[in-house]
Amino acid sequence: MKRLGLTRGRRAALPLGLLVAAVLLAVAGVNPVRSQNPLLVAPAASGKVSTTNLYSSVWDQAPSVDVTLSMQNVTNPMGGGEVATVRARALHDGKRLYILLEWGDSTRDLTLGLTQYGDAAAVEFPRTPGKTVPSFCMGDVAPDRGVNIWQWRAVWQEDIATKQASASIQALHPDMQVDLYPFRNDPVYMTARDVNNLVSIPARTTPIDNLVANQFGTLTDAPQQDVHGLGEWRDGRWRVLLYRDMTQPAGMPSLSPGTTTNVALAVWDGARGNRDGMKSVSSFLDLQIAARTAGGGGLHWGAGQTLALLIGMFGAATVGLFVLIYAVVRPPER
Amino acid sequence: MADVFNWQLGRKMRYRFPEAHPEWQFAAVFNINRCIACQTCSMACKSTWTFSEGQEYMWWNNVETKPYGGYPHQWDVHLLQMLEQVNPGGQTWDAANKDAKTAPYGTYQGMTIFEAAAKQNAGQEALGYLPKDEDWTAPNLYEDTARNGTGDLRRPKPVSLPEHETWFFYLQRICNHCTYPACLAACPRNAIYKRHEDGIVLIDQSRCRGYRKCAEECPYKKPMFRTTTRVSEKCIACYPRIEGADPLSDGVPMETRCMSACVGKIRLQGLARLNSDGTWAEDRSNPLYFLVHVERVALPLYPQFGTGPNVYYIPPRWVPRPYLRQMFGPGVDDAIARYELPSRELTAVLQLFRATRTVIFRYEIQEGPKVRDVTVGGKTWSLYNDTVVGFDKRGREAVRITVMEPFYERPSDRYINSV
Ligand code: SF4
Ligand code: SF4
Ligand code: SF4
Repeated sequence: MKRLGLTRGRRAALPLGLLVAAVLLAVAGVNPVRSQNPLLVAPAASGKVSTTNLYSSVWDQAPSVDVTLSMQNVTNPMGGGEVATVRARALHDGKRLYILLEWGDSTRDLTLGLTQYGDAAAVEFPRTPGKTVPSFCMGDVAPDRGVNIWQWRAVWQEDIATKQASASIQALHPDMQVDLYPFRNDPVYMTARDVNNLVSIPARTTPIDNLVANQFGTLTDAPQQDVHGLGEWRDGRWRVLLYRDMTQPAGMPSLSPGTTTNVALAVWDGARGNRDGMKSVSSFLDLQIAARTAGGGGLHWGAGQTLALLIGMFGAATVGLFVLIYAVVRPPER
Repeated sequence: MADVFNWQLGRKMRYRFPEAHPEWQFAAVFNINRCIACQTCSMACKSTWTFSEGQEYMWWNNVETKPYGGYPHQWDVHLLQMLEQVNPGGQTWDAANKDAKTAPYGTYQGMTIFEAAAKQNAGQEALGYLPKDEDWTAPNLYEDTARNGTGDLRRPKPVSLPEHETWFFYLQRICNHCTYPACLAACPRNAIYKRHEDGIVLIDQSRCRGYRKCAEECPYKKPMFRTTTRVSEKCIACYPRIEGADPLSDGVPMETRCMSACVGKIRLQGLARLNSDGTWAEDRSNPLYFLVHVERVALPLYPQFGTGPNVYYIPPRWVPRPYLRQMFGPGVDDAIARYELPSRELTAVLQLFRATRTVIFRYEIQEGPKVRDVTVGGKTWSLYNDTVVGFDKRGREAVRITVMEPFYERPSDRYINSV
């Protein structure tokens, strides 16, 4: 039987062919990996994006994508999957990126009791946009393959609304007997708060935690808590806005109009015991921060552009294919 | 996932992380036979660590009344039942398959909570459940609330269980600072760690995000969620005292609050030096080593769960053996036999319980005269008034105590009014 294999000549031609094909495809603006992902486009908003009115008509400019979610079943604790889809929209104003999420949830879970959990939602980005696409499962170990996560929590939203950040057990169960609370305001006895744990801070200014991770189990507060937003529950649906400046310090993902990155989404339903990995989660979508046009009116993509792109892609792929065929079928040199 | 060796089970078992044992392990012996349920230990802990808002229900140390009580209610029978459901009829021991060092109680043939979780495949590291709010009412149920059933949370159901007519005992519980902590394995954020210097298991208060997986998967239900800081807390083994950092400690390890407050003198706590496979290094004159490994009168609580708990109990003599074997494993019968007719050395070492709050690293016995012979169950047993001397970590004498309580008789003619 003839041994399958490539001669030296073919071995040299194969990578060359792949390279040519890849370069041409890249020149044509097509990323073969990313083309599998659903695309979320963040047009440049015309007009101000309201950070208080989640139902503002400015969002009519943003195309919505219904993203399918599934149970997290990669690592313990596994769970979630109860929320089947989340509707995502994105906008930018040249300075900030805004993401609006919407999903159905018949209960509004705002309390952290001993066995009560809050609703939550999160968006996840690669920490080095455009350079690497880490695992959507909390990123990879390599420093440049981490992820940045913005997590909105209904409980934090409620803390801000009620201007208080704690429920004692006695508040949850008013019938219980408590004699006294000595040293009530001494921070030493509020340990997690005293060591500045992000989840324990009493006077919250944003309902969104800014976090980083490099694989499961490594989620950590980012140095800067600069993600803002708002969540509102109406008629059995949560609508949550998350936004942040696109220009970021080193180590955090900076974005700008005309660039593309990835975003993955997650939703927690507190009433179902969802927390941590027990969540409904998507894989990465492509997120395109549309270039700002002269008129500031967002990206205009017409039939002409589509035709040009298709012709470009076809031409590039054909050249690459020929080089590949040459590498594989050329008779071996003896 | 790793295969780790658990000497309490006499075999390897599955655990999330590979073995990496501390140099010393925090450990204690509780003599159930002596406890009077005064709850001084519980108050000592509460008044030190858990008196603030959000900690109202936290009793890092609790004393519950068995067989019906438990804090949280039914924590142990609930988990035993879950284990039984995953592996029906399988929780048995091969008590004959023994080795003094690596399988002192025999070999466990059933499933640990880690193995049961893997079989169940429900996304947990360890089989477990999260107690309900009402499970945390009435810390000493059936002792402090013996009857009444109004449905009121303060007088919780079930109330139709029989009262303790024939036997009961008190079970003193703190975190076991386990060798293979289920809380640590359960934490998705890796916020729980076991210290290299003393094996104490802590929840990093700056990393915890309040997921309560530790509270769900710790079989002993010792991590507790604090609603005011939104993170979980647990017994910290009074680590400043263990470090000798407490101003009272004189720079050497000092027993914890709940230990040193014990009125019934049931507790002795210390540090055991470990081998690299997690077994206890030979340390013949360490009182804990003597009680756990030489005399084997003190046994781990529910060793079958597989976490390698480090609080060891001298089982109560009067309790039906099948109940005790389920709770402490197959070592129960030997342990009780050795405790009922203690050896001369054990009689002396038992005097060290609560004789000092300094952790005793070594003891010496100075032989004293025979006091009397007694006949117990047809056997002759001799009592000697030996003196036991305990030494601290630096080898300084910390305590000296005799088996017989010093006894002085006042001449009656001189103190007519008895004052
Ligand atoms: S202080 Fe000692 S005797 Fe009293 S309840 Fe606690 S363990 Fe028992
Ligand atoms: S008793 Fe529970 S909380 Fe304590 S170390 Fe063991 S598993 Fe963790
Ligand atoms: S060791 Fe310390 S923290 Fe733990 S239960 Fe005892 S007193 Fe409380």
